Amino acid sequence: MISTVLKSVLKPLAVTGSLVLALNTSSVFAISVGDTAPDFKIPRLESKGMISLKQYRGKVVYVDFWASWCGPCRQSLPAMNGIRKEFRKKGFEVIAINLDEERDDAMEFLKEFPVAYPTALDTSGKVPEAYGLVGMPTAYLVDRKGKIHMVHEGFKKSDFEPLKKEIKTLLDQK
Amino acid sequence: MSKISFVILISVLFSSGCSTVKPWQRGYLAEDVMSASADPLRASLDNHIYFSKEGSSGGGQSAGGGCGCN
Amino acid sequence: MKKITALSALSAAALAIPSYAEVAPEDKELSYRYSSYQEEDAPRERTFQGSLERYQIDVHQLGYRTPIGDSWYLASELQYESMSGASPTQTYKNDEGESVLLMSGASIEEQRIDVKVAPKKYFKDGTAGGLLAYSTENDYESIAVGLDGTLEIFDKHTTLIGSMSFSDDTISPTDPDLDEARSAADGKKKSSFSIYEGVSQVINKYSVLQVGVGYTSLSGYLSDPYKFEDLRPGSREQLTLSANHKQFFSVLDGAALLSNYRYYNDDWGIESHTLDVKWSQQFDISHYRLIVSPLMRYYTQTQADFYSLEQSPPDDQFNSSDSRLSTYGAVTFGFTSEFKFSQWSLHFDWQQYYSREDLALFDASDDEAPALVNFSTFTAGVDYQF
Repeated sequence: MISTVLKSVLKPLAVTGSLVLALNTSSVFAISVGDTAPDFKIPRLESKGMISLKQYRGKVVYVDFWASWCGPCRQSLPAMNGIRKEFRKKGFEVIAINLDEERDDAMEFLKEFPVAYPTALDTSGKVPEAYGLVGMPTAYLVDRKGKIHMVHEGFKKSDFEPLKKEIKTLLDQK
Repeated sequence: MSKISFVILISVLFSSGCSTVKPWQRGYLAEDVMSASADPLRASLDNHIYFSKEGSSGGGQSAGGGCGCN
Repeated sequence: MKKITALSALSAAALAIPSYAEVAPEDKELSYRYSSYQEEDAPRERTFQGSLERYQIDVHQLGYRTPIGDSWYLASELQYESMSGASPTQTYKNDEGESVLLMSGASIEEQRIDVKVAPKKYFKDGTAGGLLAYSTENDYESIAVGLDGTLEIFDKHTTLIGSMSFSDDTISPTDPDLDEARSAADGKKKSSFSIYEGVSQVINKYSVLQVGVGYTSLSGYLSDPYKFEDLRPGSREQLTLSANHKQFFSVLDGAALLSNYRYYNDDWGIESHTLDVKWSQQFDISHYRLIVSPLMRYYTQTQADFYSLEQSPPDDQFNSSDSRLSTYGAVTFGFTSEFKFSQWSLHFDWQQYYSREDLALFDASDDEAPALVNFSTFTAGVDYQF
């Protein structure tokens, strides 16, 4: 009795599953290494005025998308603060773009994890859309010519050293 | 018969009325209140109690770690 | 074993699935919970024999979770339970149509130890995990293994969930020479195979829905050797259909409505419906967070085919007067609460459970089941993340 009920449940489920699979084509646009990093002009988070990526052409830039609710961001923001301090003079900058729906949540987070580098706010979601962001957090390491050198998803303690190496390589480029 | 309608109902729920939620729009789903039922020690104890005191079992948990509560 | 379609090849021991994409947690966590479970006394006016004092159980749970390397996480739990009290041995209907309850004599005192270890590997789009569980008490031993996996598809809008487990138990009733049932059960085995398949779907920014199908097959000695006139089939097949929904509400500092429905059916004739609803309310006061979650659960089941209140049924027939196999309904009221600050989390939970013949939604009969129990539990605990 149970096996017939089970079959009558699993067969339609399998059929429906494949149908949904076929019908739901996911948007697979995502920026890749070598592409030019899309420019943006968005309001700053902690101070007045706007910030754009073009302003930093000639520097090595780490564009970091974060939100107050993203667990790994509690590690990544302070970690990047340390790295930026070390390489700032050589021409390294971090732009942390916050994607919280409420600005207050972002400010609360920065109170707990303050950073010295520029932070920006994009509630519209247009910038992460342009970058084809797939998961939170994601960061894009941009070289001095404005091209994407690396897409870094998530953040673990073990990412620290390999990331520093990549930044050093880019800083040594002209 | 009712099992088949259950499956159809759920499939309809899935394919319709679902909106695209971008990765940066997952903040509400990540809220603490949304995982208030996910405490593993609480779930472990509740399942053990209901398994021992009622005639049904299962519904998402493994059958492992049985006890002499026939 | 019945043939199962390819979809069920994805399987394992499912742990609670969070509503957002899973990332390997980076923190270690140590947890302790103390719970006290207390059953109400058996009804004096219906109890003909034995002790009225039902179960009182103290449970200590110790949990330890830790990341291992970059993408592994290990969850473990140790449970120590100390139990005392009497339990029903038989219920039968007398000539006046009333149910007579026989309880066991002097209160027993038993301990049980349970260990669970569950490693999990995190991939870019999913997880794969295992479970090893061992439980031992003076009259029962159980070992179980399981595998589980999740896979995120459709830009992480949909998560496929599967789990599978096997268990192998051995029964050794206390005082096996006391009666025939106990000596017959001594050394007997019971084994089970269980699978669960589920799909979790992000509906919109505020809600998630998970539906699932579960199947369990049990075989071996399934009767209760401590009860009179208790002979059950040597196999049992169970099916569950379940749906869990979570909805966020911007009430005060945040709230969520968490609901679960489970349909159950087995080949012993038992059919049940379970609905539980919880409202989880958050309060943030400077660096402190309090989450209070009142909850309610309703349960209704129909009786097993061989459930009867006959005092002396034929020896070769399946029969049981265990109230847990009768037609009844049950309601639970209670709450869970959590108080968080920096790396600490304090817990306090309380629940009251009532079960009654007339709370059943379907097939309610006029037969009394005085062994139906009411109980209350409270839990106090602490978690520390480091």
